[in-house]
Amino acid sequence: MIQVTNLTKTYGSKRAVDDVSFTAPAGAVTGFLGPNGAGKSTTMRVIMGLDRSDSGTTSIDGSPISSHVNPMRVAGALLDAKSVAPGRTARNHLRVLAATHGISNRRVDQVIEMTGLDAVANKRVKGFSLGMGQRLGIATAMLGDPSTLILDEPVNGLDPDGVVWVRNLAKHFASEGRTVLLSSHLMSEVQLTADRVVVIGRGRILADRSLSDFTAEAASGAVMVKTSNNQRLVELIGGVGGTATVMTDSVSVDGVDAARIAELTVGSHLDLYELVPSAATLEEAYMRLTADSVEYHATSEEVAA
Amino acid sequence: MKVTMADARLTFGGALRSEFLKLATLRGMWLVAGASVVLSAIVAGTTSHSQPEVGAEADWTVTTIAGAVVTSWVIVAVFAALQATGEWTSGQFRVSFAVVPRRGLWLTAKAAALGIYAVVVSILVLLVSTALILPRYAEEGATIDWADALTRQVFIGVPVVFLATAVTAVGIGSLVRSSGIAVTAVIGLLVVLPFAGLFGLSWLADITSYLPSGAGDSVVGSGAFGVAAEDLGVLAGLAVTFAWAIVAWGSALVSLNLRDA
Repeated sequence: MIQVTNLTKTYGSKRAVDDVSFTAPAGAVTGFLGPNGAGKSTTMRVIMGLDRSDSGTTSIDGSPISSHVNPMRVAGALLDAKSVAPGRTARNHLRVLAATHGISNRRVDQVIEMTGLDAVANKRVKGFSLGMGQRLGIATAMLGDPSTLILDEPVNGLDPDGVVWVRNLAKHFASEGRTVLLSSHLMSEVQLTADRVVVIGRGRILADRSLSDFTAEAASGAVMVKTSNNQRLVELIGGVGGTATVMTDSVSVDGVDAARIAELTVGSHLDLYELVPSAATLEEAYMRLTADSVEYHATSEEVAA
Repeated sequence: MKVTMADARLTFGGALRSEFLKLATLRGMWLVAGASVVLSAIVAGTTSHSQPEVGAEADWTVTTIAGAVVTSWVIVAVFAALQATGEWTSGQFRVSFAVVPRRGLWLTAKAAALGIYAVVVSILVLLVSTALILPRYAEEGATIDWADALTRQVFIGVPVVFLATAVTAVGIGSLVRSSGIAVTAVIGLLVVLPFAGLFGLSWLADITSYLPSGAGDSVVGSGAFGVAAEDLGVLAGLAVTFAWAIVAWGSALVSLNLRDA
């Protein structure tokens, strides 16, 4: 479990993280979301002991990472794919790290195989593509078979096969009771992978809850209904104080929940073809929440023909 | 003993082995060792064959041997500094500190690995220099006399000075984290400052004996590492040599613990 308590970190005059507290529980994938410059990477660096906090604490399984006798068994992190001496081969890079904890070369070979790096394991890292570098970073994180995985943008540069692999890896880790904290700009990917989301904007926590609660809160509350007689449905909804809007071949209902709509249609002998409470996607929920927290805005320019 | 994943622990021995592997898995280590030996061999060969006949002078023989190591000394020190700064220039520090979060352990392991490497290079250099120089003076009856104090000083002192200087260089590299600044600082300290007194900086001339080169000369008992300076004696020379290493190592440790990685 990762615990962050009242964490504040300032670089020069810029407060990157401001009194941040959250928990990434064991047995779940926690998606860590936020606009560029929101403080995600800073928080992860402090958790891994790379940066010093101005105030507040971070812990993994109850203690700061530096207090554990076996840091590689406690946490593995991918913070930047280019964290390797370019003249060293991938296998040697992993052997160098494994040696610190007396981890065997057999485990090195295992993670090379798990991450699909067999073909390039003996090549120097300077020739690696972004995707291969990312796989090596994930192999590095997994080398100690840790109880906690911290992955900062793990799917950057990966092919679709690699994206699915990272998704399954994160879910598998969590299913074994381990902790996964994962940041990504790909909302669709986080929606498929995460159980919980922590959203940060301008250094402050904006949301910290389950994925389903987060998206449900952002949903409009409308229910899309398709019956054998949509006009009759509109009358029924009006009769119980709801609002119904006829769409092309369905009705959008507000003010009446899905269960009550089902009872009304059955009671009136209408055939019910569809009954779909509208749900916001993670992307929609995220965009609404962080609309005021985006620090770096792009502008669109019209280009003269 | 076979270590299972459950038994895996971070130890100083493991961190040291990791630092040795870092060295062994990059070409630089072999290139620097090779260049050091070759350059010292060239110096040794050139010096011995340009000397006048000196008769059976053991001191002259070992002094010439000691004189052949200075180039290697500077090369190894620069290499040690670059090995430290390389952690930051390559981004390797992110994973190094993630697996070894205790900065003191990491710095000590790196300094120890490069210190031992420097000792090995110094012994190789001494052996090659001796092999080239001794035959030249042997013609005049000179031998290596282990009963002679200067001989022992040279053959023990040179590796000791290499060790301390490598630790100093690792400390400087870890402190400044920039290859350019580290190389400038190491060369400035080892090569430039000792000669500054010759260019009118009289106060520097006064402290020349307390620079790594002057102190190293006192340890070795010959002018192996720099310009002529006041002889501090072996013990004082050792104290000053290791004081440089401890101050550099300590400054780097304080910096590593106070600054972000």
